[in-house]
Amino acid sequence: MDTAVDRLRAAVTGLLVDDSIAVPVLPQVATQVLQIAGGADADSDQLSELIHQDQALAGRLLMIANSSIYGGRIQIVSLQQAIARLGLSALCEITFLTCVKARVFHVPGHEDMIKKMWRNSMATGSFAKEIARHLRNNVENAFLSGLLHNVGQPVLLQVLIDQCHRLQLKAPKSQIEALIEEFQQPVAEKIAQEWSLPEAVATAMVHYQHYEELTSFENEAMITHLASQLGAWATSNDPVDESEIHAIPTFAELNFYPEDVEAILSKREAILSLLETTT
Amino acid sequence: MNGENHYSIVILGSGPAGQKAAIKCAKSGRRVAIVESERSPGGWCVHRGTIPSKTLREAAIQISRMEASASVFEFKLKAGIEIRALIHRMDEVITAHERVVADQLTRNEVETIHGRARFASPHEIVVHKVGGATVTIHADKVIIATGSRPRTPPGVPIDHENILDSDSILSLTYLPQSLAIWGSGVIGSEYASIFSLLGVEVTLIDKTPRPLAFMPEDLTERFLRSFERRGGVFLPGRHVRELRWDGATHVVTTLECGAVIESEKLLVCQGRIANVDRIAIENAGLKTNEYGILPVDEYCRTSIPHIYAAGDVIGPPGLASSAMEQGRRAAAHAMGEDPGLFAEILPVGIYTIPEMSVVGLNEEKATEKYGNVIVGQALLDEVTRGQISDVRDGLLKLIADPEGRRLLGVEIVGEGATELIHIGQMVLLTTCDVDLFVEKIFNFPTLAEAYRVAALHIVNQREELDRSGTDPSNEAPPVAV
Repeated sequence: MDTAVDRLRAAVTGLLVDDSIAVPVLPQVATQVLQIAGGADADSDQLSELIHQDQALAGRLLMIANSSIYGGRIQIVSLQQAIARLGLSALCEITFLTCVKARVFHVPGHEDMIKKMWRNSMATGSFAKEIARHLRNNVENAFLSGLLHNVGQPVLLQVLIDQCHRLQLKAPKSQIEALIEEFQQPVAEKIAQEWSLPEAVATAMVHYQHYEELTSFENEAMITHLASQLGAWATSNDPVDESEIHAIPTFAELNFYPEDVEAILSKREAILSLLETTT
Repeated sequence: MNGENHYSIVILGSGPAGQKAAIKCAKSGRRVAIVESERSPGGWCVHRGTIPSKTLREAAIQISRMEASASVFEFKLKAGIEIRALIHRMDEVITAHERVVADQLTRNEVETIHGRARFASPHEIVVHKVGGATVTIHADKVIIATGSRPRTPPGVPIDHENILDSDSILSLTYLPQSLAIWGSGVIGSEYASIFSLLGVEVTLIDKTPRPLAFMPEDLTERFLRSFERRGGVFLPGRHVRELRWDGATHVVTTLECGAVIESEKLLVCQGRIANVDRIAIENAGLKTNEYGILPVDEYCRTSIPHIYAAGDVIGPPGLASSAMEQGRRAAAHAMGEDPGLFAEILPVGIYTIPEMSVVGLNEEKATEKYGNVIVGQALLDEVTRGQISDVRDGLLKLIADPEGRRLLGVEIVGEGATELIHIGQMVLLTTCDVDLFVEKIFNFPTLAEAYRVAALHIVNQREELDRSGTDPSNEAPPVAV
């Protein structure tokens, strides 16, 4: 007799084959941000207008503008002031993060799991930035790849919850997590296609776990892979033997010497501070 | 000392100087090792410098040619094109070159040790591996060829995201709308050419009165004309007071005169520094001079008799070609061979658009040394091949001795300059007269015919001088083809 896990697996497989996985649609403001990141003319006025129309986003920006990371001595009281303080670059980043979080990392009733996924996502993106900077690789793309490396997970979580409800199944959390791990790559690939992400970003975020099989963007995928491990380490509540972190093979594959590894690991505190602001 | 870790010659760095040194030593049958900190050989030249930038340059020129024929082919460069799409062959080119270098080293039984080298003593080098392990090797002779890296001026916030250096400029995914370049030396001018040709608004800033100030003014004038015709702006005699990313959309550059330049990205090209600060040269009894480079003699030998240095670590000219020759010389002398005379006739090639190249004495130096030299010129756009290929701003100059016979130097600006220069180089090496260019036949139509045109110009002036005994510096106009 098929177990709950088997039936869920079959259901997800069927949805993938039928191309029926519902990919969250990013709001126009996030699409605008992606276009800006992709080099289109930076139109801060248009972006600003869109932000004004999104109440939740606007509120979030005000909060972040006043946070210790971005804040100055003067309290920010208006959205225009927040936009001026943050600047377009930070604005794009925060807008995209907020939209992704709101649309993708949002599964009612499973806030703890989602929060963990989101923190991992943010930490990975931040580490990816620093790794890319050290290697003189493209920093912006690395951040996006890192941020979205686990974007399939919350989508799958929602799918599994829906399927459990439809099939009237109960599956333990560990099995749900195992199924998420099993199917996150094809779901991430679908998301990358639907969102028309830049090729370097799409390849890295989808294939980072098997970068050795890539014939292009291997470096970018390795960066995402390393960042994902560092992101998991930084956001883990369990104590981790630091020597294991130093010994991550991808460090050596990316030609990081011990002093380079130390330099990246030393970013942990700053990244955790940033997480407090954005999560 | 463990015999396994004992080498006749250890070379630090596998760039052009290191490679040539290693091969030279290995062919003598000695036990040779190269210590390289990157995962694959080749040095900055292969991974971030010469090869990637020239590949992008080639793509820019091809696109420019297609755009010039846009009405015929309906060609339009896609807006927001990824740089990677333009240099899609870059990875192939780099990989191919790495393979060639690696194969050559292997074939010659040069052992490659991957790690960062530090001197423990004049004959001992500790190699630090990526995993943290170390191995100590002993060298009878050492050749330091660790190259150089971009210099970051104090207080300049290079973040490799908005404010870039030559290591990170090619990491850009998309072409910026505007790019400021601080520094009009070789790297700055080359990138200014490339990006302006690709439609980027380029502002080139320097404290010097003209770009590439060490090159002859005739040549740089033509480069500048070409650059400005493409919309580039050169700001001479300007000192930068401050650079910063405004956190929004622009890098803001404030000059000492108060002018402010805003650009989407900024490239800092303020020279390069020798990579000798991380190899503990003090443990070998060495120190750098006031310029941060290792002083060497004519054999590339340092103050420590068994330690040599070659390439960027010994300073200018900082060319791959000169580095190769230095590596060869150092290796030859280290093995007790006569390295021969240093190749004084070394061409200099600058890959701006248009290219520039010089060999031998330029007009200024020749005049200082010989007095009234005779100069012959040919405009490349007056040579048939130049007209066919739409070569603009091209010039070839031959500098002859006051008798108008012996060739002293060649200066060329125009597409193909770095290839054409070798004809002049060969004549210089054989100390032939300029009449050789007139007597011999060139293919038609070729740019090389410009040599004959310039030589005829000299011959005309020489004959005029013979007839009237007048000062040859009252030049006759260039001969039209």
